Amino acid sequence: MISEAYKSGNVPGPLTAVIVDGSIAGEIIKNAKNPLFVVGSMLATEEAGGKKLSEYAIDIAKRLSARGCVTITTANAISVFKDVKDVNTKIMGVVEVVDRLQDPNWGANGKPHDLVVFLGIHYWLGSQGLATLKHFAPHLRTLTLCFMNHPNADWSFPNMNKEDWGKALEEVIQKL
Amino acid sequence: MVGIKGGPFNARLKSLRTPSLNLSDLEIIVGRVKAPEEAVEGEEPIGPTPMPSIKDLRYWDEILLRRYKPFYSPICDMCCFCVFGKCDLTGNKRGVCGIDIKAQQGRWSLLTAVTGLSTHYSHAKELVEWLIETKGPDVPIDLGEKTPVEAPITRVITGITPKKLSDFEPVLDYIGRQIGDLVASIHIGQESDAFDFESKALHAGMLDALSMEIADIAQICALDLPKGDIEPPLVEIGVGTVDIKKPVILCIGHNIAPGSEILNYLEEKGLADAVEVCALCCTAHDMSRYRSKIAKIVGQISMQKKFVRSGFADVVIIDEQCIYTDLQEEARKVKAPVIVTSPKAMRGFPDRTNAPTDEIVKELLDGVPGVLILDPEKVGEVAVRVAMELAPRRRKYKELPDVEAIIRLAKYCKHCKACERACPNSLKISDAMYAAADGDLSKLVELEDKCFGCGKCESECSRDIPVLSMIVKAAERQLKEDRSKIRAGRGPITDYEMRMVADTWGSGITPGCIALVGCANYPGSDREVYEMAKEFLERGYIVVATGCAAMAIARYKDEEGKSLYETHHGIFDAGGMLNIGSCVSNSHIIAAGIRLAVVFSRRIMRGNFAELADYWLSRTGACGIVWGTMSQKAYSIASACNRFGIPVILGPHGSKYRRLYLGNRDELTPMYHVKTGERRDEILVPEHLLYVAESKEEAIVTAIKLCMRYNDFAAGRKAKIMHYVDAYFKYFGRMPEDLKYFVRNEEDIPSEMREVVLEELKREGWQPKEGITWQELVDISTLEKEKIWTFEAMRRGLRWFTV
Repeated sequence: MISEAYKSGNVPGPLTAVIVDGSIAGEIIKNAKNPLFVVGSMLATEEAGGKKLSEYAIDIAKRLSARGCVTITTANAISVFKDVKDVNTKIMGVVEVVDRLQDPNWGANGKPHDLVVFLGIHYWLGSQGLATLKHFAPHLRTLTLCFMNHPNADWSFPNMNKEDWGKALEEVIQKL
Repeated sequence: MVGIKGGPFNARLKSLRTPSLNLSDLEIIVGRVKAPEEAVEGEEPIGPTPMPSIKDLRYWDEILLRRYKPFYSPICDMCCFCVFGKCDLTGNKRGVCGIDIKAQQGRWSLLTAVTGLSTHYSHAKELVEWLIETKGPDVPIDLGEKTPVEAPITRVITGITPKKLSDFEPVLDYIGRQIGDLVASIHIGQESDAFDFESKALHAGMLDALSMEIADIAQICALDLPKGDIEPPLVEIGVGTVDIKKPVILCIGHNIAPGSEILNYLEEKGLADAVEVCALCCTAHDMSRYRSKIAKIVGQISMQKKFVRSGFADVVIIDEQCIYTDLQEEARKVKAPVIVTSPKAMRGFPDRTNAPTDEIVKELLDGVPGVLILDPEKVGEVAVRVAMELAPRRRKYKELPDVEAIIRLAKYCKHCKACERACPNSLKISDAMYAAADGDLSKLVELEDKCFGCGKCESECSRDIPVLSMIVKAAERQLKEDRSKIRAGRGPITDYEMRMVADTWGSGITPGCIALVGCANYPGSDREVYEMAKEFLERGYIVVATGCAAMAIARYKDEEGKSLYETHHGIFDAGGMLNIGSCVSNSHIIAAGIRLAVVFSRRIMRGNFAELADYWLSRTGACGIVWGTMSQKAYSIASACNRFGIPVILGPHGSKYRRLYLGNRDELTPMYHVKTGERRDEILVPEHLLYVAESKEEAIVTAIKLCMRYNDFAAGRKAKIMHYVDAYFKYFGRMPEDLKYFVRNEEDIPSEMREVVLEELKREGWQPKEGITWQELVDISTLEKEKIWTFEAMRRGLRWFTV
């Protein structure tokens, strides 16, 4: 499937994201050995499918925590995890976590990662972080669950409206 | 023989007369005889790197970049710089010329920095030449008795102590030569290593600081702008301050020359009350510094199109830098003639510099859309005469739709969201259109505060809906009520103030200086800049601001209707809210750390860059925040700060600059004892040199962290830890996970949070570091012993005179 980048000027080069739906995205996460979930500032402000984006994020983070995975909260995203139990979170800046991920031996839970999943990060900051990983972290695959198509990821949702986004996130959760 | 324990002794006799001898200017140094070239009366000895070339400070860049490695995020995987290509550099591919993706990012880094540098250099050169022509070459470089060190950056980089305006000419020549070398390095087949590109980008940044200092000191001294006044006049700011019943002249850009001549002409003709002169961007700062009672500040770059489109301006003066390149089209729509005034931005207009004034006035009154005039004095007369004659005729020209038209246009919207995707900040325009179609304009009003005013939404709209005009019209009442006060840009931090604050700032008890600077490309509302300033003021930081950021802070008021400039003092001290001035005034912020090094530690300035930068990096708590970063100048200013050892935080759009300098706190970094030369590996403090924050909250917490310095005394580190923990709790609701890196021993723990901090540290397996003494903190540096020129000079018996 072909999808234009959310920001039409964001045309990085010949290698662009493969477009996936919620079900495939869920399978990708499920099949990863040690996925790292990275959530950003939009968790506190965005909605999808009539629900707060943070509700989806917490659900995904809980399911990943049950597998021993870590969720990195960037910016002030930690605020939505306040009083949430059974979630393993760490606070880092987006650029800090992306910087560390260039090291194939680094892991937020002490083990190297094979997949990085972005959700709710400021569009351009997320795009640039994915670009760093595309070029300098060949040991990683990247997936974004935002409603905005990110060409720098390996896998991305297409541009979609908030209703469809909610459905896609539900599909992801069902797979985990 | 006279002996002084612990150091060399110098004596100087002005004259010595005996029956057989008549000597003057006799100087004696115990230990050896001083060579005559080693000291000039009243001047410091020259350090190791006066007027450094692109290679001379590479060793300092190695120190910096070993600690803070370049972090690259390519915005384009391709290289289309030469006709070998276009080349795909994705991953580890190389271009035809051999360049790889990292080096290509380094090349972009240099290109961006040198563009910013060239802009300030060209500005400074043009300004100095004009001031020499109009005021003479001998204008004294005198910033008043409280600021005896007139140009710290010039001294540090070049070794020159400027006494008069023309003394800046050789400095400008030096910068010009360096720019040639820097640009040549970008050419295909030249530089190929990412580190060396970065070293040159830092060199460009350093020269940018020098250019800015020259530009601002020249205009301060020649035009009598405020010279470090702690209470400069309050100036009106906001659209609402402009009296649109009068003829209105709007100046936009970053050059005081044409604006000051408009003000001069009005004063000479006694027309100051008859014509309204207002300005946008840094020109507004500088005009209000020149004539605070006449010139009004409309606002930041984000107001350019909004204000011009309102039709309020009868004449628009465009000078240079950061001006929308289609602004003349906006002016044409409202029949406001444009006068362009810079050879760098002639914008296709005919050159009428040498035409008779009456002829130019007539042309503009007859409907010629604009002219180029490269004579500031002539601009002054033409602008005033045209505005006065034209104003009564163009009252009807308003581009803004009325409220009924807004509703009609909103109903026409098909909600494809092309506008939202085009908007740099993805503002929720579609939702606002839905509401407006139902007669509710409140969401459009809300957008005004967040809207950068670029108009990209309109260019993407397939139905040609004038989104920006709708936003401006919906917010018209708020804009007309938008009036506040800002202190006129004060210029330098004085040496006198530095004496007062040296102990507390130098030791870290005043936890830091926060510099809110740069453009207005904020990720959200510009209110965030105000909120950051307010928070740091409440915490007792020194808050300095320049450019668009200084204006954003002024836009918001407390319950009593007062801005932070009215509620806080203007002294460079804890809790001070200082407007330093325009972009070029950023140099005074960098200079403040040099002044501290001189006042607090008597360091040599002249030609002694690395030592002064090391002082900033190791000892002086400060952090720049460029929340609305947009321009190449902002990048070169950040690079200037970085080479001087000052950490900078960018807003999220800063990630598109492609490069940051990030540290890794898990890697130890070498430090050296300045007397024994002993090396010790220490935790990296400050943690990053150039960082992007995603949210205001992250920026606040990170800035507090980046104000920590290796040499903080215990009382200082304690204060910084207290703010860090407190802000972390406030915004993140928990203890910082990285506290163990910053608490050296129990003396660093604030008593009021001792138990919780110790508990956290225990959980993290923290071990206190013993044996830290005041003397040891003072004596540790990032530089190896032989690179500390002040101590080397002392060892050689050189002496100097500073403040």
